[in-house]
Amino acid sequence: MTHEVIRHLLDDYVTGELTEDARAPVADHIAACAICAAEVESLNRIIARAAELPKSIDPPAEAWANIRAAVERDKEAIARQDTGATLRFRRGPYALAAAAALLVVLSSAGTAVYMNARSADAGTPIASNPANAATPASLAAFTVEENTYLRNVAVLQDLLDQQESLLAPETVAQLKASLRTIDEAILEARTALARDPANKMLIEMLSGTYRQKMDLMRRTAELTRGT
Amino acid sequence: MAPDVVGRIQRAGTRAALSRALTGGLAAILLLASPLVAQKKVERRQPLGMEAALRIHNMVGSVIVHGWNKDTLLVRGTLGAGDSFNMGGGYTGAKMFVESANERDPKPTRLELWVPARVRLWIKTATASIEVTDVAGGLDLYVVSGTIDVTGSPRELNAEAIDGDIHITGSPPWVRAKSASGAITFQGASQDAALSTVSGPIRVDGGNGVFERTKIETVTGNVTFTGRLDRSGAFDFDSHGGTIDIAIPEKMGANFSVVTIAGSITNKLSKKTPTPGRFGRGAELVSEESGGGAKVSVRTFKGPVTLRRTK
Amino acid sequence: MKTSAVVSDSIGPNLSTMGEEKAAALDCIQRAQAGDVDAFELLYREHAGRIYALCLRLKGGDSTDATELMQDVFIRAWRRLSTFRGESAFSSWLHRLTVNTMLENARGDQRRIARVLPMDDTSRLAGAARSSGIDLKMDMEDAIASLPKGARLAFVLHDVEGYQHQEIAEQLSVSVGTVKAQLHRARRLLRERLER
Repeated sequence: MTHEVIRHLLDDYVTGELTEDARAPVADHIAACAICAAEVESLNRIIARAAELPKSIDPPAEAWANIRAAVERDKEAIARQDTGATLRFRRGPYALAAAAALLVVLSSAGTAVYMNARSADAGTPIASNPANAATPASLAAFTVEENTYLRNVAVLQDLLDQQESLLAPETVAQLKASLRTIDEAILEARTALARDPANKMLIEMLSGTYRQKMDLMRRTAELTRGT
Repeated sequence: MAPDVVGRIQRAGTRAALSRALTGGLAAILLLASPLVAQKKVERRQPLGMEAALRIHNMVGSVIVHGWNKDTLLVRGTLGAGDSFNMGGGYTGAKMFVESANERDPKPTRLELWVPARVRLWIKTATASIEVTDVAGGLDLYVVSGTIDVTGSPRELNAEAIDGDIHITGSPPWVRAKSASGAITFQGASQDAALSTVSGPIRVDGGNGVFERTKIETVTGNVTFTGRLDRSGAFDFDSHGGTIDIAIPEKMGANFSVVTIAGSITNKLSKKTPTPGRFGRGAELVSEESGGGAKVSVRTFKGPVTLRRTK
Repeated sequence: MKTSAVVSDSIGPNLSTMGEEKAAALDCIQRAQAGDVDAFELLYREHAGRIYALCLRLKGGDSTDATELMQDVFIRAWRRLSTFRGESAFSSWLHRLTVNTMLENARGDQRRIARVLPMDDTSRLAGAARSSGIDLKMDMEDAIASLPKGARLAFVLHDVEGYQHQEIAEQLSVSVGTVKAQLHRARRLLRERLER
């Protein structure tokens, strides 16, 4: 191997990424060539200094406050009643899931029943419906799934917001209508669940409707992406 | 096979043979873009293996596919002014797409294809309708707002639309069909079928075919299902507000488990009556009809449920 | 919340510190996944320093840009927490998310122009690299910040953060050859600027 060729192999040599048969000739050359030896030394210094850089740097104090505020807004927007705009097609900073909000109606009495039922339900065995083996039968498990759903919807919402311009207006209108239909169904089921929190079938139905909504959003996003 | 279909295949075959004689050798790779001409016609032909993969992207217009018994791909298309048709690939797989002169206002393209019947076909369009006949291989069909029409029994059929209807005439052993606001109609039976809509109606008529596993779900669409149920089969019907109407043949047995939170249940299969649900609304029915058999589970939030015999 | 009980109950009395820490971290993630913002804050406190360091270097030393990127990353992390399934370490997951977020923001960003920090403008870095006051390290951060964008990304991800060429190529959607070339360029430029 000539000097010219070896010069280009020095980076890999220094980081140990050369193959076995290449290492020896390169090492031999370096021992005999002052230019390459200097370059190797120099590379080693750069890499050593890079490794010595602080791995962690304190961020500004206000960063967490901003993040927390956005997270709380997310949670709040999802819990708020928002019948009008099912899809908001505008991308603002930290675009919220407000537009794709889940409608939750809980009277204070309803909330109390909900909370009590949750702790009581934690110990009951999970009834398995073979056709829906993965659905949550207990309210505690459902709460986790619900939060997952809400966050997935937020992500998908962001994606759809970005893709809005790629879809025909009639399709957008039809999609909005479908999402509204699903949201209304979710609202009805959620209201019923508030009154009857131990109802496993209701939980499974609600779970299924969440999945349908996410599936529709995901499919739309995927179909549009290729456009 | 329907006589008109046979006729179509025979005519296509003759044309294809003649064409091949005229064009001579078969190229391995074709990548041709058509020049700028208003409403032009294109025709392409290339060898394609019997079990090859074929991908088609067409934004607007229609895509019509016929399955035939040759290892040849034949495409005839009519394009809008300025659009170009691109096709490439080889014996094991080919790909084609239409490139619009104006992305914002694409002109409709009509593509008609003849493909080896066992091909694995993947078609994606925006508003183009897709029509596939006599393809026995696998089908993956995606439209945003076109119609999907499948005739025949592909071994696998996956059809997805957002705002389009899906019509299936035949008995694919494995079917997945989803639409949001479009309707799904299935005339045939399947061993493993899952059909889903948001507001579109779902109509299934199995004729003499037997279903084994079926999952039908909708939010507000109305569902009618007529079919024979395999004794060891499992059937799930889920609806929020849409009606569910299930009809099974005389003397066919099944085990029903029906629950509705706020709707009604009408059982015309036997004298077994539903019990009222909680809070004074809704109903429940658990019933073994005609000695039992397939497990049928029906759940609705408020959609009314009817169980009956086929007329 | 009852969910935490499941994890701690399964741990026996003779547990190594490592095991306890891991279990606590997992518990924290699960609670955050279930919507607990306080648990999420604990995750933030644990990982923010490393993520901020990465953001700062990716953004060429601009602390405003870096802070905004980091905030973006954690908000996305909150929204996508459910997609973390524990196949990799949480820090790795956050790391990938940081690079992805940076790339996506750059693509969608029409207003901003890639800023190259001139060698003599150190005011931007005021307070940025709060390592010890040793000149050597300050120079290194400056020098990295002064690199052209592609070279800087390759260098930060490979030599500072320790990714492999292949991983970097996948994340940046370029070929391994491109990564190597950019790395080569970065090291040469750094050498020039540091060893004058």
